[in-house]
Amino acid sequence: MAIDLKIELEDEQTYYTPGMQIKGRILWTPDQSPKEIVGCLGWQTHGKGDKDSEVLVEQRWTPLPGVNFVKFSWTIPRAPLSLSGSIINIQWFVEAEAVKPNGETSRMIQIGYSAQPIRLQTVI
Amino acid sequence: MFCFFSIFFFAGGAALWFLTIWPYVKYFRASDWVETSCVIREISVKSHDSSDGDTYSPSVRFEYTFDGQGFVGSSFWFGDVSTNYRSAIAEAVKPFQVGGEYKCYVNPRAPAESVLNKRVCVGTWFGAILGSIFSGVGLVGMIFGARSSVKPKSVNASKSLPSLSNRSPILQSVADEPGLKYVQSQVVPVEAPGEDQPLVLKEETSRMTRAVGIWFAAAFWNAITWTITVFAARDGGIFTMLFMGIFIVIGLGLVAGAVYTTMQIFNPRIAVICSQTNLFPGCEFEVSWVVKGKVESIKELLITVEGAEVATYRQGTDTRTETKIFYKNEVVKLTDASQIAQGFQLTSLPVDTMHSFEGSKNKIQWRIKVSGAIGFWPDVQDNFPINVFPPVIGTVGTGSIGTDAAPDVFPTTSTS
Repeated sequence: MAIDLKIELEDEQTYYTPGMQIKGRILWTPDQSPKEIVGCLGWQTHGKGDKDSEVLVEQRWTPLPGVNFVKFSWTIPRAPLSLSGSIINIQWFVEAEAVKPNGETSRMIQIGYSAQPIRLQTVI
Repeated sequence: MFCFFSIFFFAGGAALWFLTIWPYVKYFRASDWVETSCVIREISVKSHDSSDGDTYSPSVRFEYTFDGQGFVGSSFWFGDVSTNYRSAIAEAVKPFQVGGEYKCYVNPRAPAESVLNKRVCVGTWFGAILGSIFSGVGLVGMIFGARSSVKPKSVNASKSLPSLSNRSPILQSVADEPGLKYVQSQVVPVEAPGEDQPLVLKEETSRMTRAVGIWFAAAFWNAITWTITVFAARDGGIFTMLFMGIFIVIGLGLVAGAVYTTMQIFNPRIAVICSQTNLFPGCEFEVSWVVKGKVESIKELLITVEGAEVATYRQGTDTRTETKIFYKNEVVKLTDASQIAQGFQLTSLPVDTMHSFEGSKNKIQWRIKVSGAIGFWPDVQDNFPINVFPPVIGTVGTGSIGTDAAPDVFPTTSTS
């Protein structure tokens, strides 16, 4: 049976500037006891081109029986910044995965120097 | 990518060899074969089952005598290509009747080797087109594959993210906390350490490389095209010749392009210097230029800074690349020869723009473009890539949402 995973971000924040800390926790139902929890911060492209992606921060935990969440606090990388272009978009995500029982979940976030991703518009 | 395209290259090469080159090799080697009288015992159009429907080839058995010995021959012509065009095969065997006496050709060094019809089989042009397209695409892919494999900028280009539990070994641990790992992005350029220095920019592709590349493509394309056309003309294949007309026009276009790029080699050379190596969104910098050679031939010099989105994607079996220019700023536009000869101009990058990004399929590229208009001669068109780095942490306002000092809202009982 798949585990029910959830990512909570501190203050439900979804916009971060490089160098800041992204804080939150990964939760699961108390009756399930995963062997390992893996959390990561990465980006992926979407748009016209085939997908590129990278994971720049990763953390692993081995939860003790009875524990139903782990906390994380990661430094936001300098780049790439979130982008909304004509044919390329870069979107950051926080992802969590549980191993035995297995489960997966993710949350999208913005990384940049304004609350919106950098917008690029075609000039010619 | 190298291995993937090598399959195309070798498959195309095999098709080219067995369907086109080998029949012609046999044809030319048979130039001294001896003409001998033979009697046809069997002749027909043989059909073969294949995944694309039935294909056909001539089937023949003829008897001949050479040096007092009797032989049986079974080669109708040179090459063993079966084709979908039954009518072409039927047309080829039509002049021959069972029981009739005809001329065949015998290898005097190995009299058991003979052929009834001293010509290559029909359908060699198909092998030539198919084989050259496959091997050409394969060769280009192998060259680019080999080049990209030595660049340390590839990223995980999987269509969907791999399982987290399978992707951690590449990460390098730089954090104190157990189990936490950070890794430097491979797709965003990082400025070199040390003092910032003026930089002489390098051309994206040198004029010589461009010209050699186009000449190579033109030679390859035209060699194949004209070989097929000449043999089709000799065999009277009017439809093949008409079909080849399209390929001949493309070949002539490639030759014109090769001549054009070769003429560009002799244009005045323009050195472009950027006042600083480390460029960031919002920064001011100076672009300097020095023209070497016949400056007065340039009627107008235009220098622009351009930013472009470049996305590569697969569509069916094709790989396509689309480019969208999102920023274009004219640095200088000059018509006076003394100003064209050398000079400098201050310019800047917009604050709210994107830094350089070099994914394997998606790129944000910045370049300085230099165009020089020359009368009755190909223009100067040189591109000089530049790196625009992401802002250094702490040099830009951190926004109003969230701070490092935010209170810990979570319970303290956790594992780590």
